[in-house]
Amino acid sequence: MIVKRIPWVLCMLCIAAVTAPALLFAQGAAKKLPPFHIKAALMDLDLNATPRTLIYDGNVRCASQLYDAMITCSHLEGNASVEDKITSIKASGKVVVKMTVDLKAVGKDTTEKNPARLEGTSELITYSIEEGARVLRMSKVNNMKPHLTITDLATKELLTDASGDEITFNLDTNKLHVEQVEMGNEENGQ
Amino acid sequence: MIGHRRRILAAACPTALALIGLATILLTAGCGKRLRKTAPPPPSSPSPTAINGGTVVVKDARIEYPDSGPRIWVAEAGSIIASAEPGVVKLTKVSCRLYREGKEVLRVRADGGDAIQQGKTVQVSLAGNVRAEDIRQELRLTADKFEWSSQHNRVSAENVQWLGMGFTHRADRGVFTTDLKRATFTGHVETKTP
Repeated sequence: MIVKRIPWVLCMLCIAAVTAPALLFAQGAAKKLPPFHIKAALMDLDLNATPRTLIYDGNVRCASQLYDAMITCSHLEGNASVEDKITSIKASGKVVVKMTVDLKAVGKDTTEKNPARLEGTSELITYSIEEGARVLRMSKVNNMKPHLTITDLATKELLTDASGDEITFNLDTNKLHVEQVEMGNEENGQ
Repeated sequence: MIGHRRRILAAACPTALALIGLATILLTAGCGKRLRKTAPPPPSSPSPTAINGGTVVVKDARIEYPDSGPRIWVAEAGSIIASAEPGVVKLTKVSCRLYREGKEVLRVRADGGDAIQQGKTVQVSLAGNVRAEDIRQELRLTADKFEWSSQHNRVSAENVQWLGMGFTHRADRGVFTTDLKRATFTGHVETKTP
């Protein structure tokens, strides 16, 4: 009886050995923002804080190869997990964000690309992992509403021109959410 | 025919003798060299301690401070020059261990520097190829200049690069806690995240 079960046990062990690293890798990728190259006039580092913090001030420029991203602002706070990964960044003070996103890449069985240029201005922008996806959140501060445009790079067509109390753009699904708190209604778009 | 052989022998003998003589001279010279190598070196190395105009120079020396109580710093140096001013030493090719509340927290190497020992505090200033590493060997620092004050648990460095946990931070100047876990960087700050 036991001898008959041995092949099955071995089979299950092999499946576990193959799938476990794949699952771990997938979880790790979802918890991390891409590598950044940050320049500023001043930086405070605190590894004793939880989460570990990096605070930049003065003409901050934060670049990333993923999405060809560039965020400029006057103050930037980054949080790092104990696994030494940047989990979120919060930029404030005349923030300008520029990224190149691929609008056709999500949920399509095609290798075709449709690169578009995302440009946003806001007084406060957070770039973080929310429910396993990279999300850009632009918020209103002191009646200064965020503004976001998305332009098709091939046709130069303006695809989105949004302004609201809070604009959220999911970089993994390309879902755009514009919230107008004062008007009491919400806009959704993709 | 016999005359021809005699002529050949007459020419060959002096040549053979000359070759044997040359080989003997060369072998003798080689043996001489080998003998000189194995001979003990002359006792010409200078004394490790020298006194020059009121200063004491000690080569390949070690300082432990203080003599009693919780340790503050230990330094090993290629040379230590104790000046006439008490508690002030100059160091070359120095390797230091810095302590916080009696526990070692940082190791630093540099081309040279100064140290001032006063009461229960030490101030160390190092320069040239400064390399520091925390006791867990997780955080590293390189700099052109380095200053440490045991009283304030503070390190300051110029033209500094901090490496740890996949992060690299560069700046014109940095001020750190001695364990390198908290820092303020100023001037041309650059970070590369993992």
